[in-house]
Amino acid sequence: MVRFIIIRLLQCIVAFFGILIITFLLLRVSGDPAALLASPNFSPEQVQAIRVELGLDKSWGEQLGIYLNQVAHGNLGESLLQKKPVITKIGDALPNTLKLMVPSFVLAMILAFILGVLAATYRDSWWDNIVKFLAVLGQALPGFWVAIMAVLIFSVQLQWLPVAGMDTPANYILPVSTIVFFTMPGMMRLVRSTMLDVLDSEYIKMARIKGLPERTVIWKHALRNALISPLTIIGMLLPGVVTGAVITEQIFNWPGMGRLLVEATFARDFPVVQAVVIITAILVLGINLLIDISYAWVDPQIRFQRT
Amino acid sequence: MVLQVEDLHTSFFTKMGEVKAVDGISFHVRERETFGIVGESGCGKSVTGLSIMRLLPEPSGQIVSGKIILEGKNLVELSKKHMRAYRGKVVSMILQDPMTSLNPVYTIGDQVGEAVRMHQDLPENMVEAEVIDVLRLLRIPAPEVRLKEYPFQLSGGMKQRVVGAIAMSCRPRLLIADEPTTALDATIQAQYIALFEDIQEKTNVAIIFITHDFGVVARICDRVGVMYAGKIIETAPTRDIFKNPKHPYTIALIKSVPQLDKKDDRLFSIEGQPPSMMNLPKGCRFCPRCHVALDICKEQEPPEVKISENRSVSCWRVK
Repeated sequence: MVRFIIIRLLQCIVAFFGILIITFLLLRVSGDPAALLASPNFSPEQVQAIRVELGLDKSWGEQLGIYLNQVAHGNLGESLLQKKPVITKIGDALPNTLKLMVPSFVLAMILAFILGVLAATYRDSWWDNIVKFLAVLGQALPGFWVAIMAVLIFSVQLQWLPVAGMDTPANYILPVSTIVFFTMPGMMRLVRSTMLDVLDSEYIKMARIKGLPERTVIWKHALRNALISPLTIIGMLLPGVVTGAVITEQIFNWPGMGRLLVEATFARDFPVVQAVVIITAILVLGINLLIDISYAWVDPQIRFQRT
Repeated sequence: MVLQVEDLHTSFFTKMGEVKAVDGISFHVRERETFGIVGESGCGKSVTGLSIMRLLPEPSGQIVSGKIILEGKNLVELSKKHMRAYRGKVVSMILQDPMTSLNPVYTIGDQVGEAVRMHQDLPENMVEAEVIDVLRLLRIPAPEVRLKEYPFQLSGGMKQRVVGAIAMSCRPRLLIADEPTTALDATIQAQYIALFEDIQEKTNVAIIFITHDFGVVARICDRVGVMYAGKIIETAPTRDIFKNPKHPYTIALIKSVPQLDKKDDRLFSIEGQPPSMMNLPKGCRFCPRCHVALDICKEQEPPEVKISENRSVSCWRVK
């Protein structure tokens, strides 16, 4: 088990630097930030002076070397637009994103598990049909469209909820609902189908033979066996949640990481984009590692394997 | 008398119509007796077992009529909650495949202990001793160690003993064993059957042994009922059924058991297929495959005839 974790950690570090280098190069391909910073009436010499000041005149190889050295020392650089350390910008944005994403994701997963398990338990009932319908709806409608429609109906027409911002608890309702709406259905369907497989098995029959109450049969014996594939998908969903938040934050004018990333990308503010990608990568890799470790908790056979 | 089944009818209601899986069977099992139910796949023997447990797949499977009297209580009339209190405590069951009967994510101690906790009002510190006790009853070596192991760490034969331990954990009055030895290899099978005799000796449990294998019947059953297309067509003590089978189907079944001392080139088999349970023949259900059928067999179902104290047969040829 310890060896397994060490191997996975090493893989994470390789993946991390891979992501770093690819982002670095992609950004350079996208264009020259000096051209955006300079006024149209600047002479070529003045633009060149900006490049030299920002260190953009050096070759990509050199820039990458300097950058990796910085990152290795924990320095994420300064924003090209405002002469502010990137770390303060992230420090402002990250808590806002977490405030939105953590409750949304947790709520989506709890709902997905409860609804999925109930749909499988009462298979083909009207309840199951409602769940199936919701699942199709949630997977078919694009998240950004749902968000805009929600704003249109509940904020503009009915005026029940604020349009944007994050000052009051009421501000959370629409963005959280939007994120739940597009992350829950896939998981719900997966939980339903794995539960159906498990409920068909002989050990479930055996649990009933023991005279156990139905809730123990389902929530103890069946659910734990149905956890493996949903856990894998949670790992795969998390990056999607971060990118999903980009759209949601943009629509609801939420000052989080997603909006920071979009603004920095349009401005070719390389250090900011790179820093956001770094933080996202660390979060995603870390969570995936935790998920891998949690398999061992779910399935004793993995725990006893000597890999 | 531990169990008395009277005119039990169990059907599956499917989109294509009603399937009468068990179509009016009656039998009884006494204390410390092993009653065998023998028949081909699909004859309704497993459904009989599940009916007694009241664990038919819902909502399609239903007991349509009849009585299942266990220790004086008619199980058919019990509420779901009441039945649950009986399950695992008074009546229990062993399933066919030991590889899939145990939950892969919980320890043996957990799974046996759960049944003990459910039905016996024991203080928590006595549960483990009780679990070890029942593992010993099933002759599982080093029960203290097994307790902490997971199903994947055990062999198939050992798993089936653990399944037996779960079933016997509250010392039920009736144990239904649905082909418990079919998935085991021959040597393990012999050990497991010997184990059953031992358990019966110690606990006086009545056993219903469901199988398709007449060889197994000969070794463990006191009496046997032969099932065909949802009916018991012959009931007799095991010794009598081998010495003097009456129903043409029973005769044919016994003839198809391979015998080591005979040098036949081909194994005897019964021609044709059992009838579709949705479209049963008008007369005797075995008639289309029967070599000695009379005219009346095509027209009318034979009644059950009691030919001696312990024997009954449903065949127009037997008077």
